[in-house]
Order: sequence, then structure tokens, then C-alpha cells
Amino acid sequence: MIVRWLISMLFRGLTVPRSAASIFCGVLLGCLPLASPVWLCVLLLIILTRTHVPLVLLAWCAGRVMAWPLGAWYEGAGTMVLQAHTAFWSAIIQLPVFCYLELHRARVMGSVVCGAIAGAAAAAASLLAFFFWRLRHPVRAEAA
Amino acid sequence: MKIIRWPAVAMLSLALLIGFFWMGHSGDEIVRRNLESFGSYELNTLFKVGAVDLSVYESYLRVDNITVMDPGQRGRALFTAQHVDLRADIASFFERRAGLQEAHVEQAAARILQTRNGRFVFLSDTARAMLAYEPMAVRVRRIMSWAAQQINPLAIAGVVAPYLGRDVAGPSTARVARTPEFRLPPGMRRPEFFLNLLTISNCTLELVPHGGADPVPLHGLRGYCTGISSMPRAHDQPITFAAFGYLGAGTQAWIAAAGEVDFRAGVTNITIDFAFSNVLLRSALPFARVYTRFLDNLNVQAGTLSARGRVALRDMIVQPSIIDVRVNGLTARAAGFVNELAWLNMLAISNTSLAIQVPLDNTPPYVHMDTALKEQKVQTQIEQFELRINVRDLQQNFLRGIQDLRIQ
Repeated sequence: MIVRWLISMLFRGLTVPRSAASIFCGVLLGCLPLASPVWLCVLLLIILTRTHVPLVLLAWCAGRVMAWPLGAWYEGAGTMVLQAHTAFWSAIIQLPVFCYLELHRARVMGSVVCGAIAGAAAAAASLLAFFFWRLRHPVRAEAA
Repeated sequence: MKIIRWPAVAMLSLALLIGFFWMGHSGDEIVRRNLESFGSYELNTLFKVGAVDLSVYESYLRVDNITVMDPGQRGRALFTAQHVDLRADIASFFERRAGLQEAHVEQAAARILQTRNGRFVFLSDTARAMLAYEPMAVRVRRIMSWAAQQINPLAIAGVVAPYLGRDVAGPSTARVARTPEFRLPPGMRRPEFFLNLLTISNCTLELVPHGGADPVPLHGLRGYCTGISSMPRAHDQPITFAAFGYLGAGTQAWIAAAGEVDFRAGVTNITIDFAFSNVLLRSALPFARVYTRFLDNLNVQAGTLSARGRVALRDMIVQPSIIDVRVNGLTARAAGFVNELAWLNMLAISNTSLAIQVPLDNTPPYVHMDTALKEQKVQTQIEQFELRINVRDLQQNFLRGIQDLRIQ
């Protein structure tokens, strides 16, 4: 009974785009270094937009768990991204406001890139799951 | 619109407004405490600030009664300033740089000491021995970096980080800061601290000659300097300056200088135009004593010194120029040149004037007084002249030239 109530609380008011956005933001937040400027920005984004908070928390936990074994790769990935397009990043990291995000640090850039990829993958997976679930449980048009 | 959480936006806006008001009311004490602790730590001496007036809305900061105590001499102030006004450049804030449109320093006072080898320094030998060695440029750059970091609003992340989670390696922000980072290509970096215009008024520099003679005040100093930055080579304008002041207490002697220092083209070009007028020779001689002992024997009793000229360095190489030097009302009684001029028993001149055009170039000793004499770029008017010579010490052909001139 309590479990069903918790699940109903968890998924109350949830729509498909909102769940995908919440999962994306949560996973990204979980991958980012704690209390870094980008982390603060994503947190602000979550607070100011209508994300689904329980789902964000779940996704954040998933991101933190994922960062445990994969966190060592973030720095290498960041270095690779930054060195691949030197001219582009030279222009970007000096832009007003962007310069506060500390994207020139390999660790931050790596966690942003890996977090965004993981978040997008998780969001796409949730969309696909919903799509297949809808195929099995189609919405029947009510008879007039 | 259903994407935005409007109550959260309202709460955030309210928090920002409260933050602004709170900074307006309580910011003075916070800034004063920060300034004092950082200044005392960096300078390794007592750094005191009297009052601070911070206005976030007008991006303005006024600091009164700054005192830096001398680390080498207890109880004596090394530097004091009555008022320092700073006006920030808001646009630079978004570029994560500490930019100041204007800084004004009023009634500042400092002591400049002459060392044994003729250099002028701010700190005494004792004070420098007490400080940990660090090149001055590095220290200044670190202070500028600190100033830039103070205005970073996201620095709050460093405050909240310990409450969000800490492990044995310390806060994650610290771990991130130590990782490799992307370096901008040369030529693309910008100074993180810059000051567009610095003005000073009614300042005093106390010049202390080596050897314990009375200090000479350079007072009533006023002037400006533009283009100061933590990275002069990457800044978009050269450093220009101009200053004017009076030398010596109760005299009409003035000194003025203006110039430009340009580091931008990868080389250092310096141009300084200077002039000073009616500087009392008796107050200037204690400083000259370090460079030559010849003037001691000249025993100058009165006279004033004036000069004007230009010193230009292109890629740190002195460019040829001429300095006009003029001595008026020179009264001296020279005696005792035993080693230099044994034949000279006594030379007395009174109320004499001397004008000389001295060449300046890149070959040592840089200031070529001997060339000026050889090329007869000298004009003099001797009023009263007395010369006594030791005949026994004269060389055989000493009078030959004078005899040829047939002087009666």
C-alpha cells in the first residue's frame, strides 16, 4: 500500500517531455563536480524550470553512482575535447558569463560532456521505454 | 508559460534584492576585514584601514586612513593614505575580470630610501630581510589576482562546498582546481585586473639619502597614470603617466615628468620627458655623494640646478638624446683634491652660472659630460673667481697653451 502510494507520488503530474528533461538534468547534475560553477547553474536550471523533482533526485543518484567508477575518465575526455578544437574553445571560454563556468578545466569539461551524453542517453531510453509501453498499452479513444 | 517555476523565480529575485541591501549595509565591515587580513598577510606587517564606504549600486568603494606599518622599524608607518576612491568597471565583471574605471589616491605619504649602490627602494634592508623572498612582480600579480577573485559571485560555491560533501581529498572544487586546464594561445589572454585611470593629489614622498643626511620631501605631488594592468603585454593600451611636485620644504623647486611605457609589441619601449627647476644643490648633493666623491671636495655652498630632457628606450636600448642642464648662483670653494688634482690648491667661485648640453646614449657611462666639454657645449659666466695652484706639482708643459694664447 505504502509502496503504491510512493510510486503514485513519484509519478504524479509526470509527462513524457518533463520526465525526459528531469532525467537529463538529474544525471548531468550527478556527474558534475560538486559545488562547481556549472553545477550551480544546472541546479538553478532545475529549480527555476518545471522539472519533476523526485525524478531529478533519482537521476541525480544514478549520476553519482555512475561517476564513481567512471569519474576517472572525465578528465581525459575533457582534455580530448578541449584539445580537439582549440580555436573554438579559445573563443568560447573567454565569452562573458561563460568564463565563469570554468570550462577550461579538463575535469569540468569532461564531466559536462560525459554527463550530457549519459543524461541524453538516459532521457532517450526513458522516451523509448515510454514509447514501447504505449505500444503495449495503447490509449483507447472513448466512445462518444 | 508552463516551463518556468514562477514562485522560484520570485524567491530568487527576492534573495538577490536582499543580498544587495545586505551588502549595502553590512558590506563595509566585511570588505574592511578582508582588506586588513589580506594586506597584513601579503605584506607581512600591520595593515590598517580606518573606514570603508561601499556602494554596490554605484559600484564605488572609498577607503579612508590606510596605514602600512614598517616591518623593519616598529611604530613607524611605511605608507599612509588619507583617501582612496575606487570606481569599478561593470562590463569587466561579466568577463570575470576586476576592472576599475578610476582610482584616486589623496594625501598619500611614503618614504623612499637610497641604498648604498644608489638605487631607490621602498623597503629598508631590515624590512626586506624579514620578508620571505618573492619577486615584486609576482607579489603584485598575486594581489591583483586576489582582487579579481573577490568579485567572483560563484566563489560562494567554495563556501557551500564543505556542507555539500567532503572526502579525504578535500572539497571537490579544490580537486577540480588542481587538474590540467586548457591554456589560451599566446595573444588571446586578457589581464584579469586593470585600472584605466589612476590619479593622485597632494601626495608626499620623503627621499632619504644614503648615509643618514636629512631627508628631502617631494611634496604636493599630483598626476595621473593610465593603462595599469596585471598583464601589460596583453593590455589594449600602453601605460602613460604624468606627475608634478615640489622638491624640498619651503622652496620653489619643482619637478615634472611625463611619459609612456609600452610593452605591447613584445618589446619594451619607454619614453620619459622630464624637467626640474631651481633644485637646491645642497639638498641634491647628499644623493649625488653615492655616485661620486668628487662633489664632496667641491664644497658647494649655494646654487640651484635645473634640467630638462628626454630619455627614450627602444627595446630597452637608450636612444641618443641631449639633456640641457643649468646651474645658477653656484658658490663653491674647492680644496683638497690631493689624489685627483694635486696641483690645485684652492678654487673659489661665486654666483657663477653654468649651462651645458649633455649627450645621452647607450654607451657607458650613458651621460657623457666629458663629450659635452670636448664639443664645447658649455656656456658659463663666472663672477668671482679665485684659483690657487701648487706650482711644484705642475707638469712642465702646463702653461704652454696659455702662453700660445698670449693672454695679457
